[in-house]
Amino acid sequence: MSQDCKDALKKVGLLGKVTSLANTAQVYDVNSLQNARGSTYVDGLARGRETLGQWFDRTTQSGGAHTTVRVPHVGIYIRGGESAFAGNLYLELHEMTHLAYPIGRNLDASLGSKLGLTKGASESWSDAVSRFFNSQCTKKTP
Amino acid sequence: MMMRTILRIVLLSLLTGNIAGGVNKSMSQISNRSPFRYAIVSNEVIDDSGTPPKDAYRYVEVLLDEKAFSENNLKELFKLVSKRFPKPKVLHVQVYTNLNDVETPEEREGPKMSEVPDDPSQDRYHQASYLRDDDGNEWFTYNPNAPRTGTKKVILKRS
Repeated sequence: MSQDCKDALKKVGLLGKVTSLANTAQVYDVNSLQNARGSTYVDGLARGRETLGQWFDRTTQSGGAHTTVRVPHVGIYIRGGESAFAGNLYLELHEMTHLAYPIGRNLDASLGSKLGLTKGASESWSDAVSRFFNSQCTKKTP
Repeated sequence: MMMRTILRIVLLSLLTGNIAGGVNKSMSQISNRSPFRYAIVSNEVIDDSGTPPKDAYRYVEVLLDEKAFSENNLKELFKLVSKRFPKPKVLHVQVYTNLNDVETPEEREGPKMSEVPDDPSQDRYHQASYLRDDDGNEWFTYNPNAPRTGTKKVILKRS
């Protein structure tokens, strides 16, 4: 993790939690679970009889990941599981930080504002948080 | 005649005394009244990082009168809330200006996921978010032109 990320997370009281989550967070490989009933894993986030794979593809951009909280299987969902984060460690850090701060109506908006990010008029909060982590925690503004 | 005049004077002085007392009372109530209306609708301390907790933080939600939403009033509001909650050091305050934006207890406890597209209905009203960090820095962001979604950042204190 870059020093900028360590500093940013420490300032807002999340570094300890994120560090401990690095060893304990559950990462679910959607490829191997895709035919399972979605609601078994993510409760009401999945619609009706939707499978986990259908839920994931409906809600995720290609190559993306989701963190879910207050569901039966809390954790990070990504196609390829842990190995999908190889070479993309800041995406994993982004998702782990959601687990460390599962607060607010919109997880990205509350995390973004806690980190002191500003959101551009054409950005979503998810874009703003991704921009920050993908820049190794240097770009707080658009 | 003399008796009637004395009675009038006594009555008048009693009346003016009462009125003055009433004015004084309402003046004191007015001076105690905040310049804007707000309510704290949620307040929780999260300290789940071991014993003693190293990463404890407080999360507070405030509902502010929409008519009072301005940068100056937000500065005043955050000063009041920060003073009210000096501990733990890290304090996050989320301000809403419409009840539609405040989660019900059931919504708060319900499932959530990250990376959801922003819901335009959630950008309809003014909002602000304040943070006091572990080093004592304080800042807030707000959407000055709701429903347009860009945010502005204001630094209150840099340590």
